[in-house]
Amino acid sequence: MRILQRSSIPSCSLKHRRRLCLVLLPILTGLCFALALAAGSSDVSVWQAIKDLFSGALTTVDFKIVFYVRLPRALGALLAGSALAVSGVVIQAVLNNPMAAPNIIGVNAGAGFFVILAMAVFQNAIGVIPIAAFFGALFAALLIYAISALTGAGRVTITLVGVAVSAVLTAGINGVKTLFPDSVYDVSGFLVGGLSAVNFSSVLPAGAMILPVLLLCLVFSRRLDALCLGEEVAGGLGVSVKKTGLAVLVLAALLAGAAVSFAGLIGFVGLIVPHIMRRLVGSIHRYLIPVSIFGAGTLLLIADTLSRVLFAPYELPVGILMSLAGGPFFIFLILSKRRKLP
Amino acid sequence: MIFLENICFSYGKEPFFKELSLAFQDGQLTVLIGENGSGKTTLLKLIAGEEQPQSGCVFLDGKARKAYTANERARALSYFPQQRPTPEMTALEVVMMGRYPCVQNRFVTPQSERERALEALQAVGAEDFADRFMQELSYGQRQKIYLAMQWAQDAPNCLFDEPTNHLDVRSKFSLMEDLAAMKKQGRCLVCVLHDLPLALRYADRLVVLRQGSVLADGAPEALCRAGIIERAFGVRVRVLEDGEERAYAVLPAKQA
Repeated sequence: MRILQRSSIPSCSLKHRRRLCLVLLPILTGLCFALALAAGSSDVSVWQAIKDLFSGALTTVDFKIVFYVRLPRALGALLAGSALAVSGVVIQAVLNNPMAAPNIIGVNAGAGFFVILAMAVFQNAIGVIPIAAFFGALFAALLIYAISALTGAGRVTITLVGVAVSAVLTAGINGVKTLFPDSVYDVSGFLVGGLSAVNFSSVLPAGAMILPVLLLCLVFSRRLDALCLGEEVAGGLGVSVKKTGLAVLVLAALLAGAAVSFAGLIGFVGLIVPHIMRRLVGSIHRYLIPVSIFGAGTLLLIADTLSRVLFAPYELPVGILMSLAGGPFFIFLILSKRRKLP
Repeated sequence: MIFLENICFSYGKEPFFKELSLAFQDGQLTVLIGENGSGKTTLLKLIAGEEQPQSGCVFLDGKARKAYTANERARALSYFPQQRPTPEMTALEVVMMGRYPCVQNRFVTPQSERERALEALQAVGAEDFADRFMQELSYGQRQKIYLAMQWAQDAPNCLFDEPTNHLDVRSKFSLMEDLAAMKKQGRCLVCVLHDLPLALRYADRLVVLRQGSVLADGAPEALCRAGIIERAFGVRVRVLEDGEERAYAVLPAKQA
């Protein structure tokens, strides 16, 4: 009696699929990164910009556009994508809920609310934003975790609680925006999520945070595997469930907070990418985390490049594109998981 | 060997277990039976450490459970809970998780550990499922995989909470035969079962619980002969013999 059929690719074994993904995805990310540097509303040459760099001609238009506009933006797409995706992977493992993702359960909204609040309270204090984003993300993540741990609620309940928390925090964002219109201005880009304002000074500190945290998540990969078997089984295997859960939620909040601090509230990356990658390589986190890093990086690089060239010289915030793609995907997910949910 | 000494436990104000003491021997399959809410699962959770007693102590192989580190405890005791999520892993990967407490390098799994996991799959006759995703397997096949995981964990004390639930007849017998094979390795097995005929046939010892107390404790035959099972569950028990095979049939009690 077969309960569910998995939509896997029968001609390619799991082992080969993992190897293929681990080799091809970084190559694809590299190609998309190069494309993100080359494509845009201005007709500039990356090759010329590189030649300018080595010849010391650092004031040419080609150099300035490629190195000061497109490069930080491409780095931002790569970092934000990988951070949000791994944050999603980790949250899904800890809550044992395939539908939990930073934007669904309110982690992104928590970061956004604290950022907007910080902007209202500490006007023009740009340095406060990453800290506020981290604490906002952590607040929301811990709130959901506490509800999950204390009530022992099922997966669907936790997701619904997350949606409610997200709604409350989003109301908070709009409340602050309405009450402090002079302090919190021009935040629509932040709320939708976009990379148009990214520069080296915003992306490099976030990158310095994201890269080591991604490595730390890899260190936790075996424990995350154990958590996927359920808390009781994981505990029986010697995993300290509560400590591990808390530690990796802090890491997830650091990742989501760092991404939100420069890219705003980009949605669905943390949901879409882990799901696609899990279908390809399964739930073993030492494979799932690296392929999610490159898969999400590739996705956001493509989305950002499209957002720049589709309506050039106008630009569509990448968050809109992600939501356009992510919304239908989420519906598909709910429908395909319907039989599995408790 | 598992020993519970003067365990007191309550969910609310009312005490549930009052100074309960029980010992479970190596090389024996002890089955806990009782009506719903009699405390079978709670007892397993107390042994596993999922619940903490208000007083009293649980000993594993002569050492207090609290004195073990989490990893040491996982090497001494394995736990098969009633419900688990189905991870997106292959059967072999799930069984290899059983080796988690024993593997030092948790990033690269050595070949020897993989072989141990394959042996465990063979032991429960599930080696054909090794490369299949858990979602592709039936409920009974998944139970086999979790049993293989426990086999691979290689702990001398094993707890099972209703492992035969939702299984068809053939799968039930097959799973109980696997438990019998684990017992022959000298492990101490404690199992909660609702299926009385299965419990009577396979248990070396039955512990009948009622509202947190031990109503009866002994070999299945002795408990049947004394009419304890019949009185405890309000049923009639009949012995069926086929050569050396012995089985039990459970019938509803006759209306007065």
